[in-house]
Amino acid sequence: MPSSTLSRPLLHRLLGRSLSAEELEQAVFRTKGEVSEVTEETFRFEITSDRLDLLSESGLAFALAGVIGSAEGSDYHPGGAPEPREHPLEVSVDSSVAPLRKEIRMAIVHAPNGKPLDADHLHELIRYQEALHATLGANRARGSLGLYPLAHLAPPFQYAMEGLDGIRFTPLPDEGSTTTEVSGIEFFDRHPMAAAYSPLGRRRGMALTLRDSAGHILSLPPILNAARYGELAVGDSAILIESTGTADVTCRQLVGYMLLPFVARGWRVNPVPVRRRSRVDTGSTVVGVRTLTMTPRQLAEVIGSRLETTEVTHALRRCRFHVTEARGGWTVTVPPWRPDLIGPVDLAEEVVVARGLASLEPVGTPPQTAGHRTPATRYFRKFLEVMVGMGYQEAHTPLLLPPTLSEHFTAAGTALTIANPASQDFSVIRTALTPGLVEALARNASGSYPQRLFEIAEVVVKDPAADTGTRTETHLALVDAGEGSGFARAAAVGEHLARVIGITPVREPADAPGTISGRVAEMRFAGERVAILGEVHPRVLTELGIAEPVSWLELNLSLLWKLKGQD
Amino acid sequence: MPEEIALSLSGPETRILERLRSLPAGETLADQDLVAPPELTPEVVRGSLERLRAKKLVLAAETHSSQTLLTDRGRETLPKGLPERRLWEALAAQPLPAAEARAASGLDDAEFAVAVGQLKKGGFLQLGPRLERTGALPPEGFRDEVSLASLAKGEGTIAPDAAERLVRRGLAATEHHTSRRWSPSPEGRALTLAAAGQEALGALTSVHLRGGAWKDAVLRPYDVRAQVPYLNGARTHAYLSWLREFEEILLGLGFEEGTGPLVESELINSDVLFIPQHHPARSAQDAFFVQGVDPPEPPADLLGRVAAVHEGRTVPGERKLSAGWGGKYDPAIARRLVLRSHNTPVSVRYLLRNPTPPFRMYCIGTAFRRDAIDTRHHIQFEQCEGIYGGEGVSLRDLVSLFQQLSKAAGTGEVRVKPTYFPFTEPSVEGYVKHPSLGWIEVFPGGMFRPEVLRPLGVKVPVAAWGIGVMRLAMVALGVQDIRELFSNRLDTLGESRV
Repeated sequence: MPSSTLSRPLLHRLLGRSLSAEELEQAVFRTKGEVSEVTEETFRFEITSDRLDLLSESGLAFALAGVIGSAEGSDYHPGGAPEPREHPLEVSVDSSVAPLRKEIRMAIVHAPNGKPLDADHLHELIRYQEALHATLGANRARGSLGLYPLAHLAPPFQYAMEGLDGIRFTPLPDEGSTTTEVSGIEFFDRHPMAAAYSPLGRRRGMALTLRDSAGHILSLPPILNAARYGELAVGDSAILIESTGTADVTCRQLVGYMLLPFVARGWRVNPVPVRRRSRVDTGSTVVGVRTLTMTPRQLAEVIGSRLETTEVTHALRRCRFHVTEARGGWTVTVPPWRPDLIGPVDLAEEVVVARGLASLEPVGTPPQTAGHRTPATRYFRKFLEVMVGMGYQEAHTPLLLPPTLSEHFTAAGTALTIANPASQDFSVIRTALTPGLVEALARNASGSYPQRLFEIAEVVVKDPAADTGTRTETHLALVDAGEGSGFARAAAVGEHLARVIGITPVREPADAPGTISGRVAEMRFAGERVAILGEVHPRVLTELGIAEPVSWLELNLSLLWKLKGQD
Repeated sequence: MPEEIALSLSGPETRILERLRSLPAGETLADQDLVAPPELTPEVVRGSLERLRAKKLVLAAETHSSQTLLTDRGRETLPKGLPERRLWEALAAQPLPAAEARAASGLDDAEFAVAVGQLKKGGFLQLGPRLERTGALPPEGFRDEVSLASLAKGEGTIAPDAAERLVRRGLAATEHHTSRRWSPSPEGRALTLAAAGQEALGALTSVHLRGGAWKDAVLRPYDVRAQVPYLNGARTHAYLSWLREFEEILLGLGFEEGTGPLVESELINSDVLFIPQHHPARSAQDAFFVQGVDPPEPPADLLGRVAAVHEGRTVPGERKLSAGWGGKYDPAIARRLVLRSHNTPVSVRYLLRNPTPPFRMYCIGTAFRRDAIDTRHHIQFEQCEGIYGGEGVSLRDLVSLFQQLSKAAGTGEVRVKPTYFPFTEPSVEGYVKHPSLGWIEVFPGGMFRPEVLRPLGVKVPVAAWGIGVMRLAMVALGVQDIRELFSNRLDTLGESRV
C-alpha cells in the first residue's frame, strides 16, 4: 500500500487539537488507512491506493476533522477561467511533445490574505509531490508534478520539445547548495536527476521544456525544475501547479490531488487553459467539481437496510462533501481530489465507512442453496484413498518447473512458458506431474527406500479450441523408487487402477522422453491414451542424484472423466 | 542361560564365533579378516559382531585415529590461491574501490567477503573508500596458505589449530577412524555351539513352510530391541488435507464448487473485474505472462461491454453505471494470457453462465503472483474464492458470513475494516485474532461493483471474497516457512500428526 511518513505536530496544528497515539489509531481505523511507528514527531501512514488524497498532513487532517466531528461538509468552489487579455494565463502545447509525453494540465492557487506559504507547508508539498510521483505517477513515467512561483513567471507558457543545443538551464539546487547555468547537453551528461529520468524527458538530441513568454525555462519535465522560476520559497502567495504525463486522466488526477493541501488551508483555486493549435480547453473540468447522486434504494442494496435521510446526509457531510437532499436521494459535490468516486456505490461505501462497519447488523439467514463439489472433483477425490491405500504418500509440487527438469521429460515446444519469470527455477508450465514428483524423489535421495509418491493436481496443455488457447487438466501421477521399482511395478499399479476405475484398457508400447526406450507403455481406452507409464532412464536418475530405480505412471483424470461420459 | 544364547545365534554369528575361537590365545582379528563372501559380506560381519558383542561372547579392542585431508573445495583452491591471496595480489599495484577490487580479483561475493575478513583480521588491509594493502606479509605467505600447502603435499601433521581453521573454512575435513580387533570372551570360548545343520532358523521362507522344515527346526529368538529400518509411511498431504477440511465448512454453508483454467486472458483475469488496465498489480513485476500459444480473439460482445464500462460509456440496455476509469480501453491487453493472479476469474466464469439466484459458489484453487520467494511468500498459493448472490444480498450478509466462517474454522470473532479493491465497493478486510501474531488479515471481500456485474448480465447484488487460505493453514499447522509446504520431505509428510 502507498505510505508516507507524516509530521504529528503538523497534523495536530492543522486539526486544531492533539490526538494521543491511540486516538490517532482509532480515527484512522475509520478511514482505509493504518498508522504505525508513532513517535512524538512522526508516524507512518499507509493508505489504500484509491485514497492518495490522504497522503499529506493537510489531506489527512481535512478528512480526520470529519471523523472526529470537528468539521463537516465542504465549501470548495474553484474560480472561473481567467479573462482574455494580452498575456493570457494559459499553456500552449507544441505538437512536438506528442511522441514522448503529450499531456499537460495546470492550475493556479492563491493564498488567503496575509497567509502565504510557510516552511511547514512547503516541506509538506514537496513530500506529497514525491508520494504522488511514486504511486499514481508510476515513478514519473505516467505522470509527474511541478510547482512554480507565479510571481516570477511571465505567462503564457509553452510546452515543447527542443534541441538540446538551444537549452540553457540553471537546475534547481538541493537544499543549501547553489547551481550555475549549464547547457542542455551538459545537464543530460552530468546531472544525477537526468541520469535517473532522462528517458522520460529526452529523445536523442531533443528534450521537453516548459518556458514562459519571457523565454525562461521553468523546468525540463518530468526531470527537474529550474532554479528561481521553478523554485518555491516561503512567502510565495500564488503558485502554478503543473502536471505532464502520458495519460490525460493521470495528469488531471495529479493536479486534483495536489490541490487539496492548498484548499485545506484556505487557498483559492483557478483553472489554467490548455491550448493546442486553435483548440482551447479551459481546464475548468480539472479543478471543477462533479456531482453524483445516490438513491435510498441504491444505498439500501449495499448495506442491507434503510437509513434515515438526515443520518445519511450527516454521514456524507462528515466525509467532507457538500450534500443536498433531493427528492429520491442525495446529490453530492465531488471535488477533484476524489477521483475514486465514480458511481453511486462509491457514495454508499462512504456512508458505510462513516457510520462504521461495526454498525452493520448481522444477518442470520440460513443458506437456501445446497452445497456440493462438482461431480468431477468428487470422482477425482476417490483416488486419494486408492493411492494412500497402495502405500503412496501424497505430494504437493509447484506448477512451474525449471527448464532443466522439464526438458528431461517433455518434448521441446510442448510446454507453455513464462515470458517474465522471477527465476529460471519457475519458468515452464508443467504439462505433466511426473517431472515434479521425480524431483521430489531427488530431494529425498538420502532417505530410506522404498519411496512412493503421488499427486493429483492440475497441468496446462495447449488447446486451440479453448477460449484461452490452453486447457487445464487434472492428472494423477505416481513415482515408485527403490529395489524392484521397475516397469512391472508401474504396470501392476496401472492394472489395479484400471480395475478400480472399471475399464479394461490395452497396454501398448510407446515413447516418452527421460524414460528407458522399450520400457514405456500407454494404456489406451476408447481410442484414447488415458495413461502412460515407464521406467526413468538411468541418465536422468544419475543427473538428479537418485541411486535407486524409479518407475512412474501418469493418468489423465480429466480425460478419463470425459470418456466415462459423466461430464 | 548358555543354551538359549547358543540358540539365539544366527548361522553367520556361529561361524564368526567359531573362527575367533580357533585363534591362538592373545591373537585378534579385524572386521575385514572375517569377511568371506558370499555369506559373510562386510555388512553381515559388522552386524554379526555387534550382536555377538551384545551377547557378551566376543571382546573388541578399539583404537581411534584421525586424519585431516583436503576437501574438494580445498583441492580446487590450491591452484587458484586462497581468496585473501587473490585480493592481496589484486591490490598490489594500487588501492581500489571495493567493487573494482572484487572484479580485479575475480572473486564472487562470498569469497570476496572471506578475503576482506581474512586480510582485515591479519592486519593486512586498510578499509575505506578504497581498499588498501597495509602491513608486511611474512615471506612464507598467509598462515592458512602454508597449512593448506603442507596438507596438500601430504606432509602429514599440521598443528591442530591450523587444521581446525582449514576445517572451519571448508578447505579440509577431519576423518575419524575406529579400528577394532576381535577376540572371543571367556563366555564365548566356553559356549557349546550347535553342530552344523542343526542351526536355529532365522527368517521363515515359503520353502520352510511348504516343505515342513520348520517342524524339526528351532526358531531362533531375535533381539527384539534391535534397530529396524525406517518405514516411509503413506498419508495424504497435511496442507492439502487441511484445505479439503476447510472446504467442508463452505459445503455446510450451502456453497457449490466452481472451477476454471489456470491460464486466463487478461479480459477475464482483470478487465471484467474493472481493474484499470494500467493497474500496478497487472504489471510485469506482479503478474506472470504466458507465452507459447497464440490466444484466440475474446468474445466480441463481452469485450464491447467491458470496454464500455472501463471508458465510462453506457452498456447497451443499461443506464450509465459510472464515469469509468477514463482513457482508452486497449483490446490487445485484454487478449494477453496470464497465470491467473487470483481465483476471482473462477467467479467471473461462473457468473457468465448466468446462475439462477440465489447462488453461492466457492473455489479453493491455485493462483500465482510474481513475488520474491521467502518464508512468507511464494509465487504459487491457494486462495478460497467465494461469491454469494441474490435479491437483497448486501454487505451485511458478507460480514455475517465472515463471522460464520471464522466461527466454524475456530478462529473466533472477526473485526472488519474498510479497504479498497477495484472490483468491489464497498470493500472490507476481516481480521481475526491469533494468540501470538495478534490481529491478522484473513477475510478480504466486498460487494461486486455494478461495473463488474452488468456486463456479465447479472442483475442481483453479489458479495465476493478471496481468503488467503495458505496463511490460515500455516497458522493452523504451525508451519513457519511457506516453502515447507512444497518441500515433499517424506519423513515430515509421513509423520505429520493426525
